[in-house]
Amino acid sequence: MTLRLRKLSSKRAHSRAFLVCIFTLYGCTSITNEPYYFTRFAMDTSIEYTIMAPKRKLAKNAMLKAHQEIERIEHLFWEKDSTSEIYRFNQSKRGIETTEEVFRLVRQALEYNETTRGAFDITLKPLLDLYPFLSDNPVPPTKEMLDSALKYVGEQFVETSIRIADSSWILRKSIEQASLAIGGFVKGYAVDRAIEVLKNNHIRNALINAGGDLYCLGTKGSKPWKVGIQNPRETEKLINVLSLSNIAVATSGDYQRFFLFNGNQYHHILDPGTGIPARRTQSATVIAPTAEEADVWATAVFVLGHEEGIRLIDNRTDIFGSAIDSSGLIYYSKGFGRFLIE
Amino acid sequence: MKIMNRRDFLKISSLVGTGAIVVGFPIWKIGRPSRSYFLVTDNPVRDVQHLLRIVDLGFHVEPSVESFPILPSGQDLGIIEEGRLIDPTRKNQIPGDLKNLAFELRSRRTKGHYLVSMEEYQKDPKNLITFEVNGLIMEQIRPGRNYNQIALQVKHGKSIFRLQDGRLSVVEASCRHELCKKIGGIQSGKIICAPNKLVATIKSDNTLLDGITA
Repeated sequence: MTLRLRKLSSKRAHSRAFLVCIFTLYGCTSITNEPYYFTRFAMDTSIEYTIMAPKRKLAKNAMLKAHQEIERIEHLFWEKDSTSEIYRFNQSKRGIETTEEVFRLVRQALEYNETTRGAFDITLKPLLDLYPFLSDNPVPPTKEMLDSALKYVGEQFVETSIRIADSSWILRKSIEQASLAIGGFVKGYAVDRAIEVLKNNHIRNALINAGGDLYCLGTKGSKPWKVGIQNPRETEKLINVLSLSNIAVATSGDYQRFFLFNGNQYHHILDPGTGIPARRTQSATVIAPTAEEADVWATAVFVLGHEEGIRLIDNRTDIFGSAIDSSGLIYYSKGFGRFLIE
Repeated sequence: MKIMNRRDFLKISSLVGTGAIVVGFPIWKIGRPSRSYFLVTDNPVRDVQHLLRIVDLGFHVEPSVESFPILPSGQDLGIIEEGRLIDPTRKNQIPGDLKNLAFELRSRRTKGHYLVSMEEYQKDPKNLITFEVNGLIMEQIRPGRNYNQIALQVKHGKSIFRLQDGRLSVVEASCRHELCKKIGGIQSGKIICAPNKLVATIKSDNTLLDGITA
């Protein structure tokens, strides 16, 4: 076989050389994105940012704005913050007039209560207050104390309404003792909002991890983000590794916040029906389009257990979950396997 | 008036383009000359943040920060450029903010306890144990040896770590609930003290994960 070479005319050769130089020069000076890592704190947890950007300064500026958004949400919703709207609601006798954002988020949370068949409940604060997780000598509540607090728990005591006359957003409670604990759910919401801020600041690829609630935006270089699921019993090991892009993941586990009393473990994810820590699951991991949904459904699957929880998720086409039951067996919903690397 | 014909224009353009690549590419790769800084302080977090703000305005290097506890000494700020130590208060081309910071450090009555050095930014340091306070790297240690005490000045006092046979643990915690101490030792991952905004990270070359959900 012979190669036939066509001699280019001088004019064509120069113009092509010129174009080659231009494109090569562009390629050499074109910007490559590197990962930049930052750690900040909010909502009692660390917020880890991995931002793909051509320069650290760009990544840092975007991160600062995203973190500002998270801090804004913390001041608005964190029930431990005495200036927050939720704190104000909890302290009130009959409710408060609030902002549209708070109104919509609380209303959304009350709807989640319905779709998760009561497993996700933001009205559990009267019960949570009985568990002294940070005490030096914690003692769990008695059955009488739990029964007494259970009378104030339930979404029927909290109502959202709009006063049309002046377009006011109202959060109302029918009994004074009703109070909200939406901290865990707000973390997911805050991550979603922070991701929007990053996008508005020209960041196309990033990962935000707020105490185990993650959103993976875009990819890391040419590959999806790799996220490990922590082993609930050997916390330095992993259960699975996931490959994620433009999606969120969250995990609820019985090892995150707990105390021991007389050999029994009392963790912070309560069964709304009984007021005691849910025992069917060691941990539940959910992949969802938003961190808010991942957070909610991770809690719900944990409380409901693998049978009912995974079955509920199987009815959705955009949410995927895994659960480790009390004996250590792992169950997966349909479609979860597509995210597994190992 | 005809300036240049098309053939000559294309010829010159291609030569210029090639020349730009040949000459410009190495300069772009090598970069501008860098500076490093040191300062002696009793409040490393605040002073380093101050210095970072000044450096970000005037220069384009991205510093990494290492902080070492030292015996109390007079406070000062120095710049190291091309191997030479420069006193910022005596050099003309130094930004006013840096000079002011140097004067401020010298005028403080309390003695410095930390020597902080800032150098070229190290991207994604591997095989290092990193201690960050409020987002700033205060200490970086290579594993492979044992440390009985790694002390860090934090918001609520002092936090002390131990590194023994590749396992990092908290020996003394200044926060109220000492949750970081209760974690025990780790060989990889993070120990976080939220009240003190302290993160200790053990990375390794084998770290392939971008995050952990727990």
